[in-house]
Amino acid sequence: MSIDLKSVNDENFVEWRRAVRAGFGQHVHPDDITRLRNDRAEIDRLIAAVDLDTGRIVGTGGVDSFTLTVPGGVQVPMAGVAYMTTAATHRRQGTFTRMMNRIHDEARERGDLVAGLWASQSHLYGRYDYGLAVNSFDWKIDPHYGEFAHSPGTDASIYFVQAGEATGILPGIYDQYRSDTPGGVDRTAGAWRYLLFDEERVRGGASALFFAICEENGEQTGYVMYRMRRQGDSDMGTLQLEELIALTDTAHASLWRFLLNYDLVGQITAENMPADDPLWWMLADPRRLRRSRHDSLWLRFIDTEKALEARSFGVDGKLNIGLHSEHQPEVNGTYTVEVTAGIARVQKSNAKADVDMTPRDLAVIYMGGSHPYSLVEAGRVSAVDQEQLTKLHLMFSTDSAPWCPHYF
Amino acid sequence: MTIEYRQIQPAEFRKFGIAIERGFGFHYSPNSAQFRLDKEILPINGTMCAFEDGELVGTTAAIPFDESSIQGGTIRNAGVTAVGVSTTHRRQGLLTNMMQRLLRQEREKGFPVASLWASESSIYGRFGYGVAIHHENFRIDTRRAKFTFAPNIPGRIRFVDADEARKLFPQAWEAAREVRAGIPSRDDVHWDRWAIGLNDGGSEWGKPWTIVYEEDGKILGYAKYQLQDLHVFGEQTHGAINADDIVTSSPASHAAIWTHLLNVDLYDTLTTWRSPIDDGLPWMLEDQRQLERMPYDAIWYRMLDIQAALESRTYLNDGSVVFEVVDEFLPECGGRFKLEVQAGRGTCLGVTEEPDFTLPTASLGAIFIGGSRLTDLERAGRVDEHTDGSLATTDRMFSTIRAPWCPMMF
Repeated sequence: MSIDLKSVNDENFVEWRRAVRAGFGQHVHPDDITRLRNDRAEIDRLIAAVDLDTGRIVGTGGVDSFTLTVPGGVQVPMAGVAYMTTAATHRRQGTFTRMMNRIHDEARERGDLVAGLWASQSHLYGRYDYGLAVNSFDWKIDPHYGEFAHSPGTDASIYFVQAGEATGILPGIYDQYRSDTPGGVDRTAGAWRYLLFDEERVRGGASALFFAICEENGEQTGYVMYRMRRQGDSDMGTLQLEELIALTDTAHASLWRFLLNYDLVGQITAENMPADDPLWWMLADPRRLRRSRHDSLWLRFIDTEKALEARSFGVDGKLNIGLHSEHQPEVNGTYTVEVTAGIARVQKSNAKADVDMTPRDLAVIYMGGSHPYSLVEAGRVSAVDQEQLTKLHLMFSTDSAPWCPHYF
Repeated sequence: MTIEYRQIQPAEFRKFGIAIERGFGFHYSPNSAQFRLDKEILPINGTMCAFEDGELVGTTAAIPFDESSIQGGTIRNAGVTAVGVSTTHRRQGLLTNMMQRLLRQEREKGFPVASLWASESSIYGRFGYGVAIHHENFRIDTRRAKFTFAPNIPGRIRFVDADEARKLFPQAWEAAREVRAGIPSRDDVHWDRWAIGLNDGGSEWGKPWTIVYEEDGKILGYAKYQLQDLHVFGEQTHGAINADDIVTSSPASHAAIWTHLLNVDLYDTLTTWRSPIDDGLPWMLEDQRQLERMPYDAIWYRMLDIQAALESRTYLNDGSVVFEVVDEFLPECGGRFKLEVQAGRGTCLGVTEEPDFTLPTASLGAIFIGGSRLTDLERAGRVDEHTDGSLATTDRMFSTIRAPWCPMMF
């Protein structure tokens, strides 16, 4: 039985898409295949693994192109890895690894500095040098306990809009937000159409989307979109938050005041909330906000030097970082990071390392989402002395936690 | 009805214990050893209570301890505890009056900060406390807890009995205090009181098991855990393990203790509480999503003498900032200060210069030990920045390599 990696084209796209969804245990509606093809898929970045004996697709993968905002605000090209499956009939033959290697090779040729993904399971991607770069939280709160003890002001105007109007407003607000937020990625017009598609089959039993816009001094500074889950008119239903984007602290506070004032809601649920969202600090009874930590964006370096040079650093100084990888021995070596006025020059050398780690560990601390000491305690990162560990900590620390508002 | 506020007298200690426990829904019935230790732990001159016609209707107290900082600083801390108002006397301002008197009393004794565990998170903000140490509760199915990474473990784990645990655990505690900020000092009385629980399972959990990690003749870590047998013959029902007291001081002791806890056969639903938020455990796991992590507020800090407090801790980064602290509850504790950090040590003076930022005292309490950030508080409207970048600068000065942590309930 031999398996070849093939490109995806209009002839095998339907089979490829069915194989992707089957890998996640789902059937796919024919219209949704067309939708993905028209609005989202970059067909020349998709891969099909084909069993040459049967001619069938037995593995799938691909990339959505993104730009990722890194600490300091620079946007770097990122290969957004998605659609990764191997058919249940063809496990343990190395197909997944071959697809990942192909994706990384092509990303390098195209000039991507990093690859990023959301993992279906958290044990899959470490072996390819991905590290969990962005943490998020899932939230639940009973709005009856939503009183604020503090706030930066909640006097922004909020108004409802219908889906058609929302389509014209949301992308502009989102784009400004993601450009300023480490971890943010761009959304194309197609990505917006794909996201806002709202026929009954994609609602998961909840209502159609509701939209509300926040406005301050004539400027639209935030929005929220959510669904309702309620049985009958007197049921204390659930408000399922789909996305809340706020450009100002007042917009953030005003949108949350709006949500927490909702009548006939017994619970608000939200997934993928920022690790440092200030709502917790505003509540009069913060423990009522039930938080559960979740992994969000995983990153892998495609061009380590350029990726390091793209972000800004909290303190100046020079640090020799020794990288050691079993997966990609070609990156092994010492990376001398010299930071002046927050900007790094990075050179690969044979210098003696001050700190040692794998590329996946560097990915974990790259966005400032986790501190290096956790990795030291886990036996993953070592430093020659406390001074070098302190330097590593201060250099990579950021003023805010990264957040990736876009799931792909 | 007039309420009298005062310290308790020696003969009132049992009434005091009864009132405290009733406030939490328990009856107080200590044996003689417990009673003696309780009296030693809660010094009478640290109490501040409310009486009506000689009847005890409200309680507060402070336990003195030294809090660990980094690089050798120590912070004298009034550990506020035993806070309760009788159900018969709600909404009459008793807590406010007791808290004000207690905090002033402790400040006069020279404690620069007070701290506490809150029974409810809605209570203490109004008295100027801010959340300074954040913890996480862990839960994991140990059958799914394989390690991909672990440091080298040169030492070994062994079981100890209650007497040996009492003798050896303090060594690991002291080792941990050297490497993490926020850990209280504990004297023999504290340890004796704690050790009573080693002989007592309580409820459905069995009598605790105790282990130590030993390396080069030194005790560098310990764990106390309890098991609950859920086994039903003929079914794959297993037991639960609750490790409520884990103290480690190095990567090796951490890995050794966790290896033990994740390999207790037949007891595979493991829970912990009060784990540090930067614990290395998730980063050792092959599949870190198997570890459920639920954060919660742990220790709330309250500034009593800002100058002394800021000079008693150490700092990771040098810098200089001027800030105005607004303290509505204890106005004499607020003011305008300049903090200058050089080579990790701070000098703090009252000044009249224009401040870089203005904040309520609870916000300073929150960041004091490095567990919270001003840049987060700003977005919640809890600090006003007047000089761009001054909050980020302050966060870098106050941050710590390891998250602060308080493994002791008080």
